[in-house]
Amino acid sequence: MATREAGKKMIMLKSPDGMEFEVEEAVAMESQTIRKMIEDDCADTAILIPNINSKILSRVIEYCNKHVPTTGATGAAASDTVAPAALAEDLKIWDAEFIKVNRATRFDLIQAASYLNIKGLLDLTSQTTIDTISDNSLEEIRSFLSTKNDYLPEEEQTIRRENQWAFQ
Amino acid sequence: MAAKLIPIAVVGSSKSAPPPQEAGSPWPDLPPELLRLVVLRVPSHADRVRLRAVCRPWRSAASDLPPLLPWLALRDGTFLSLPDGVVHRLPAIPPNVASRLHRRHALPGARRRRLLPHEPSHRVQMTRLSRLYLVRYNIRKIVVSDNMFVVSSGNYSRLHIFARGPRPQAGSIKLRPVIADDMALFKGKLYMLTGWTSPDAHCIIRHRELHVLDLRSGLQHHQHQPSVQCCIPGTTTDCFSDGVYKRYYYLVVSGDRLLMVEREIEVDRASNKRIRTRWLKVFEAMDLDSDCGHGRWRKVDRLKGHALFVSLECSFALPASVDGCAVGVGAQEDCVYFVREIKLSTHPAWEVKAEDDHLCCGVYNIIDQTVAPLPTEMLAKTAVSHAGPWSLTWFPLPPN
Repeated sequence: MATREAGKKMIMLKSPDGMEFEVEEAVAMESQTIRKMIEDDCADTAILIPNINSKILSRVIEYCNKHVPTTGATGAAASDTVAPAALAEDLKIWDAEFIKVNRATRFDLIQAASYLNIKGLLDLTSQTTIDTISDNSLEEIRSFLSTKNDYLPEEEQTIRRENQWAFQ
Repeated sequence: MAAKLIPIAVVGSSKSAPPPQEAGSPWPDLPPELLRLVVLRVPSHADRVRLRAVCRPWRSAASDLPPLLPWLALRDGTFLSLPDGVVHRLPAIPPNVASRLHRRHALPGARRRRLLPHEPSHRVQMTRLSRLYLVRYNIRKIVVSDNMFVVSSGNYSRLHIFARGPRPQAGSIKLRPVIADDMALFKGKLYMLTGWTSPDAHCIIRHRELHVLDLRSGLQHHQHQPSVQCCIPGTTTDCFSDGVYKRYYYLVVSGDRLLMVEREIEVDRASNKRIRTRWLKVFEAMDLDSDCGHGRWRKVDRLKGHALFVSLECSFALPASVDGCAVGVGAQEDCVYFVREIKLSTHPAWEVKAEDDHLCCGVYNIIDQTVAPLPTEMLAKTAVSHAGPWSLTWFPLPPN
């Protein structure tokens, strides 16, 4: 994962399955949850991230690494050479590639983004889910989500009748 | 019936043992709080409606959500959803009510569709409406509260007032010579904004007059000689605006405040064409409870967590989207969303073209005093194919 650079404070993140990830503090602080731990001095050198396995945690760190603002001493030079618009465009392409995962992984990422409070990742994962859902019929949505339809037939009929325009 | 339609892969609710994670594998049950996080970011009313129909957990996750941007009623009676730009067609009125209304009251077909938007519980109310024989008039605006229903006909020359409830009552008021710009129901009273005619023709009108009709005690006292009283007098100014302009005035109830929105549109001196919205100002009606005639307008510089949607047929306030919500979902705080008020057929000489519609609608931020386009590119693309006899109007969505 992240390599140690001179002058950068590193933080150790531990997943419940025993993997350890050394990341820059700035990268870890993309997560508002970790930021709060660090600011409240609750974080020693290692932070245990419960509920998030190493596979998902490594993806989350990958995301944070890419999205950490490049405003540091070394980062400033990098952002000077690239126009902000181009940088944003580059990030968008990277995000689109990043989120090409199966639905189970995406769901784990939503859960992780929610727990770690990473707004950008939550937006990205949710939006991808919404894109899957929108423009699909009710039946397609149900089969995408593998959700059990627990409405009674009469209830479903009423819902459809009242909002006929949305089911055409 | 539903069971026949839907291929369902039922998933166990145990979260400790997730299913194998290969592509196409079913999702585990989404915990409700995560479901809500996803649903909160859904910007389209249609998607929200469909998501609520998926199953009961989804329905509760998609309930009590912060409001989305309202729809924009287009000139042909269809509705443009913002920001996704999808055009929806709604059944005007439930068919049984519509046909009854149509037959019994010679309801002008052109107006049928527009009756619905302002009605929260339209089914019940339209039925009541049909009993009250009111729809044969040329309706300008309808305002509804929990116990009152007011319809203005023509150019606000006459008001038809209907008390709702177990025993509906009806009354009618002729307003001349007072001609209203707009009206609103606020705390059980009907408020009307009127232009103020100065005895000195050289004076420029600065502020509108506000008139009030107290309806709280019911209609019986008003049936013969209802008294409309002035509660905020108009004022004049010596300050002349540079250039030619057209002003629109709107009355909007926002939380516990009654607001007036003043909008100035620049007009080209040579062609008389309306060019662009120059500014909007928002005023709060103050001291309405004091003795009649001693109220005043106070300029407002914040909307207290709300956004305003103004159009001559329908204006309202919505809570703005809160921080942390995805960008583009809901209304922007301290902004007034406005539309092009002119009808296509009214002024053929002014060359009012539907393709200019998107240029004349926008979002005015009252803090920055800047105008931004409406958050959809689709108006520019759909305006011509959806040209029609009506004006553009905001259409409030039903609460979740």
